[in-house]
Amino acid sequence: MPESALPDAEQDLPPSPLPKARILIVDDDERTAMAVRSALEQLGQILVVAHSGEEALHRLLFDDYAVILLDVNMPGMDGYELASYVRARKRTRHIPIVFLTALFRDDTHLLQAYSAGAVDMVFKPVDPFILRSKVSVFVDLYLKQVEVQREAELRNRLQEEYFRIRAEKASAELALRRSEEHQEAMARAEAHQRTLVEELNHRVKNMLTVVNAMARQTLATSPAPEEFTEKFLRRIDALGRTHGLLSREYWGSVQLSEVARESLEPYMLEDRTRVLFNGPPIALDPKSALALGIVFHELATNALKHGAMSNTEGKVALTWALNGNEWVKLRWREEGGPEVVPPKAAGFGNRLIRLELTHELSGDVELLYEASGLRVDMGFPLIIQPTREHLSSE
Amino acid sequence: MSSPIVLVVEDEALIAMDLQSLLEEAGYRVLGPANSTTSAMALLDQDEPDVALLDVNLGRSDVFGVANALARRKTKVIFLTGHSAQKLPPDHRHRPLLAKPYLPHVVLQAVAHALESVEQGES
Repeated sequence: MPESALPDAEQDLPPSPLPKARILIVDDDERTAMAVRSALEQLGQILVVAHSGEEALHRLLFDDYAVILLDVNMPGMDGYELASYVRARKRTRHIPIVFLTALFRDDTHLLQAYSAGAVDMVFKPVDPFILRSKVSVFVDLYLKQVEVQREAELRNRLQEEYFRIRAEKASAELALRRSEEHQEAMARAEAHQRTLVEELNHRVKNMLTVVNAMARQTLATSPAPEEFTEKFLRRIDALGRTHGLLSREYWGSVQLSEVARESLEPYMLEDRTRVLFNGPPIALDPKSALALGIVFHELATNALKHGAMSNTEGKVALTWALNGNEWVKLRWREEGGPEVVPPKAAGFGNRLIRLELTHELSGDVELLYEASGLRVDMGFPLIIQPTREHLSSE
Repeated sequence: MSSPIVLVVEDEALIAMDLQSLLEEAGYRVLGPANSTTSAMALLDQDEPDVALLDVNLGRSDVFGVANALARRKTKVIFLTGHSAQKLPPDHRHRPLLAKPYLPHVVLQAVAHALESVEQGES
């Protein structure tokens, strides 16, 4: 405890009245009691007279006494008996007993008195000066004890007060800190939400720009309006499918197999063994997933129109592998389709596949028009997720 | 006079393809499109564009490194952004900023306007 805490607090306490000691005079003889009383009056303490052992016990129940002046010879409970009760009780055990006796001053009595718990003997008729001197010693002793006890109590109270204030201060500080933390958490949550909304806006605008570009590019390469509508809607559908997949995963990572399944689903023929895909689990970031979705769609559309899915027995196999945990290799292989005729000029689908692989995925692509069917070898670096904050709450 | 050269930096493949077609059909020669700051800087070593069309957010990096290099060469820069509250850095705040999704004629007008100011010798 800091030294400065005590004096400050002490000044705040009310000044205590000077304590007084109680002196119990027990004598059945009124004259002796009066004599003792008058001898002790000038000590300025509280004098209580009991005329029997029973009365004295009664008094002792209610108050604490500095000293008991006890007549040995009383009818009923005599001095020795009362002394034994006083000694037996915990609350009164400490009170010094001075015996008043008129009996012969022989050793037997002295011994009995001291063994009953007397600390001193005064012989009748009492000498006021001697009695006063003896009693004043006990009074002083008592008052000293009271003083010490009061100081101890004061110290305890101050200490309790100090601890109480310290606890209040600590709990106030804790409450303040919690409220600050709460406000900080709220501010963080709001900032996080703003970031998410801004991210979402950005994504929507980007998607609209992609759709616009898709529309313009599809239109530029479609000879007839009906063809445009068909191609455009299918491409938007393919984008929507990968989007749906990513939304279900809260724009975290998605499995390559899921992207393949989702993109090729509309092209699955009745005989499901005609389009097969297989490869190890690979988690893709949203950007790569969207790009691959477009690529798979363009490959499947082409296969349905010109390649292995345009007849009744052709087959398509999409396989992939992971090289050194950083490079994804994919192969699209068609077999059993009609005779392979390499296109004279690269169409939009062809250009789109190349751009998605090289530009979007920073990878490479090779289209091989083999006699058995089209083979497309693709590769791109795996982006380890998550590098960007995605649209989940935490 | 040979066709003016427009550098295109845009990481989204379809948008890059669309911008390229748009500019080529309007008679410009396209440098790129580049999909990253690195590839854009490599292209600048090979050729000298008259105007640059830069997407602000290149996925994992922003485009201002390229913009600064272009500003030093006094090449006209036009920014493209999908962010509603896009703030350009102080050095580039006076340059045109086009919003995505864009309309083709707005892009072409911005490019034409930038080229006019080049001819007039403004910086």
